[in-house]
Amino acid sequence: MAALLTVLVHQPPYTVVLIVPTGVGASIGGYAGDAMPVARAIAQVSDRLITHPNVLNGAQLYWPLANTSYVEGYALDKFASTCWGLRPVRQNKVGLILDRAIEPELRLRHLQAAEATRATLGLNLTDCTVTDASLEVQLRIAPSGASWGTIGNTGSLLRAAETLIDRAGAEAIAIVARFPDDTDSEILQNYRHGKGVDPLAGAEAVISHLIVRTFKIPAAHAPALMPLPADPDVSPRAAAEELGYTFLPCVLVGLSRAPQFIISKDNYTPSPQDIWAEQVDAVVVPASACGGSAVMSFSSLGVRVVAVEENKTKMEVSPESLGIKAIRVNSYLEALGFLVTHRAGINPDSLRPTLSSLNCLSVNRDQS
Amino acid sequence: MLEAPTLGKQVEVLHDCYYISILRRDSIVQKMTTHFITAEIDLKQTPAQLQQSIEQELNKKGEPLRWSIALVDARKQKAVVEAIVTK
Repeated sequence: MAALLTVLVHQPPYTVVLIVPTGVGASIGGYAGDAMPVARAIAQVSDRLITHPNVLNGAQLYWPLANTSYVEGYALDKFASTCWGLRPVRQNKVGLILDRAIEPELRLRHLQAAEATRATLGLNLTDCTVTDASLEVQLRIAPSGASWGTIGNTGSLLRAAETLIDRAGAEAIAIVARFPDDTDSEILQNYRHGKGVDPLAGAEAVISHLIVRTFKIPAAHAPALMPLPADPDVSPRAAAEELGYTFLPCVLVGLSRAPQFIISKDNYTPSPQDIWAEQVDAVVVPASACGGSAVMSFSSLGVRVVAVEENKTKMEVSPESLGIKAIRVNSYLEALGFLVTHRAGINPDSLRPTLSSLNCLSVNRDQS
Repeated sequence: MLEAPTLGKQVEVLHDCYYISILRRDSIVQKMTTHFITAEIDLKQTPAQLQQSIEQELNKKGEPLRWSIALVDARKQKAVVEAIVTK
């Protein structure tokens, strides 16, 4: 009689990182949180998903994902390089920085958005601050076509954050900077129509990176802009940014449960929920945008890189051009299929109609 | 709601909350500036070696804040990097 043995093997949580670089015109995820459906789907087939604000921020729209970590881009790079770990939290106290350059009525709209998240969502916000000088956001386009930018008063930004952390006990920082209104620009029109690069993204990344690098706590940014005139040709992918007066709610929601960072292993007391880069199983990235620090770090750790061809970007950096071994898939649907098989320990080739036979290798003879 | 402000601090009262205007603090008075730079880096045998070369090159120009390879020139065997550094 055949004996049936069931061996229970403890499997570690299947952990996926989803990256859609901001400001590179990604056809999926380069607009108004339009990679969120991708994140939702990957969250369904993984135990833990780690992704960044560009993926999860849909202005007024967001989606709570219990197994998803909202990790700002600079922190994601440090996490991927194994310098930082992630410690999930139940709730962060979020401090809000408002740019002095925001006009009174627009500032009121942002305050009301913040109040709404407190009353309707139960978020924990500290008192907020206004910067001591205008942040003076500047927008640029790099030679590659990617968006970049900066602020003229970095000190003002950092002083505001320091005050929220020291005096109000903020554990995460939301920044709202006044961005230039340029309603007639071709770049903006293209963006709203789902064709171009997000012109704000580069400067937004610089702002949040400055906070995270300096204070090593979660941060994210929402731009303050005057409402745009109605346009019947707005792309569905950009439509979430047409809904209200601010882009703030998704940022506050994301930061409210963003993991804190473990920045040193000195005197470190591990928690079972801590996540380190060595635990990541797969990273999903557009196939033409594999030149970021995080992807290169994950590749060096042996994490499976899943390169999605259908998500076109302005970049021209394939995994192969950098010596990164990647699984190429055509679409996110196909990527999901790969992740399912990877998690289950199934050879994806066995799901194809043809499967080649095994070859027998000859044994190497000892030449000594 | 924060307690009443101490002498010397400006306070704006908006809505139902107090907002503290930040006075210049000695701890963060640095004149930090951000700079967009590009660099051409020789392609290496492994991504780890390439990444290390990129970071070494950027560290010569400032403290890297953000970078990515924007283009790979296979003929010249170079990676073109776009980066933001602070000084």
